[in-house]
Amino acid sequence: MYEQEEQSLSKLKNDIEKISLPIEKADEAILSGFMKAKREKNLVKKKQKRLVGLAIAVIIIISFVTSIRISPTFANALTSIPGMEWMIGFIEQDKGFSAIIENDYYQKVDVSETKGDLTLTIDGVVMDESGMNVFYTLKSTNPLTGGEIKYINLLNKEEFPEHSRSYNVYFPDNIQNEFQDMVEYQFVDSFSFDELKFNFEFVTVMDNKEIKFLIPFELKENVKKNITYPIDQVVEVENQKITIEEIIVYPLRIGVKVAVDPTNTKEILGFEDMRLEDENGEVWTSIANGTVNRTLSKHEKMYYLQSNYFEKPKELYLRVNKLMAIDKEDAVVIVDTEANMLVKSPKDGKLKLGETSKAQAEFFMVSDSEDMYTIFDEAIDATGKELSIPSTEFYNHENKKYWNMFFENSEYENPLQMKLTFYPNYIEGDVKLKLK
Amino acid sequence: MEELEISKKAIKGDDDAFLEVMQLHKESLLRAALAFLKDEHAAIEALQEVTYRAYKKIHTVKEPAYLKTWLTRIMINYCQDQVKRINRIISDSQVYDISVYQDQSLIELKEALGMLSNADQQLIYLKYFQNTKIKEIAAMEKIPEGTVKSRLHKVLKTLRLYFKEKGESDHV
Repeated sequence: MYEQEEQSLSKLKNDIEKISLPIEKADEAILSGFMKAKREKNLVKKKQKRLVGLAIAVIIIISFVTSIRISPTFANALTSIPGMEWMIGFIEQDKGFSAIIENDYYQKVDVSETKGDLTLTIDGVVMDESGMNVFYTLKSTNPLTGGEIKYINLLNKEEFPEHSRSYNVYFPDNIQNEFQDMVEYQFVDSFSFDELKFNFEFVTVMDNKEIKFLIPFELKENVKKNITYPIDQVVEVENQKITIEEIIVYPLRIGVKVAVDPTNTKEILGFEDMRLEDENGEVWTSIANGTVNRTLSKHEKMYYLQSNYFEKPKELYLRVNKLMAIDKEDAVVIVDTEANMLVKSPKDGKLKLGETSKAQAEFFMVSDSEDMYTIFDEAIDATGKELSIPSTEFYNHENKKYWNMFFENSEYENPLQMKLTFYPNYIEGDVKLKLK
Repeated sequence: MEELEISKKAIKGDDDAFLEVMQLHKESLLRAALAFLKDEHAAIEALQEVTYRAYKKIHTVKEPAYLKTWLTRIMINYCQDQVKRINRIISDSQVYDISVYQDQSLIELKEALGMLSNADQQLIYLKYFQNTKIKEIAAMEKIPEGTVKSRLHKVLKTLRLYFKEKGESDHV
């Protein structure tokens, strides 16, 4: 019927096939495209942390922006502990942590074990009633690149309280024979151990071989007690009622316990600028790298701020101006992963669906922000079954932000309902509560 | 190794297999780029970008046998975006660097193809330039084979009408 058109098309095809191709340049192009993707993938991997042990939603925000002024006392404190320089990365991101070093609350451990080429050293520990940070160094006579950490666990005679645990799984590409990192244990409720004898269990995989370490160590000092401010006051932002129940100050972090009013019209997804402020205007903002909040019950959450435990302010205020919030009817997204269809999403239309399969779903939106958040923690399928989302890949490409989520398994029935934990929509007000 | 085996490994995340897949299909990808972009430099850039995008998304490919078509679609989508951008920058000044090989009627054909929607261009490219089977196109686009066929007919009809009109106006 359209022979003539088809013939012209096939002639054009032949013409294109006659063009000689720049094969050498093509090989370079493939390699550089591949390297670029690979670099980004590694970057994403490095930023992903493994979280274990909690049936409670935890949001991790990872940001590498903040850099605080290092005080002379602090610089002194650092030089007085040899081998501490590498911790600057952690310290710079958290005011509370630099105060811990300045006030000598870091306990040096320095116990090692050697297995073949590998030596694992526990450098030191910071422990309080809110958790435990264990700093360690892994050294090898051979390059560590390509290896990964399979498992890290801390043991005590007493059972550990309900907690979350986080650590880096992959060795970064830029290291040679030495890897230094921190394992973070965070307890749900205040807790302290009676006996300070611990075992550090560490399993790494190098060249497909598992290497296990079990290092016993003992701490000399027990925890400093927290300071609790009972508050119980209702504040209001754009007609949304929020109760600040209490504030607990630990050396490692400050917990602000908050309850939302069930009759609110909006779902509060987060506090953008919750902070403590003293009489001189010095502020302690939210945790920059670690757990920023924890769901306690349907309407209750604990938000974490950087600690001012070692400060002695005359006056102290809790302040909030901006909240992340979304209309309740928009808070749940419904997606059919087999039909590749976004059945329901916020009415502003910002959230878009990318490729989906039974195992995975990709979402994206136009965004300039480099911050990485998870947008969903879990899904509920058509039969009401809960489905967890154990890993999410984040990446930014051009002006878009992508979330590629992998479901725990593919045994579910579409459509899936997922509650938003992040959405770029905000409400503003001026909350100022006096603590002292 | 069989192409299908390599494709499967690449989809599972094997880097060597991925590079092999790109080697296998680089020529046809470059030709697709040249068909849309008409400039060697732009085509090389396109290949780099497609490699990058493909690596990030290859785990989403469901049917290993259709990997080549999947790659070609990424390439065409990229090229079409580029063309749109270029058109915005230098409005409608058209450049044909490879016209040495082409007689007038083919330039007209290319012009005609340029008038088609992105989806129709992609359809024509897959069917007539890459000889992709209707069945495969249907599977990739998640539409019935009959729909692919009727869309093809419609596009060919559009092309014929375009030439007819053009022919008439040329003779006036």
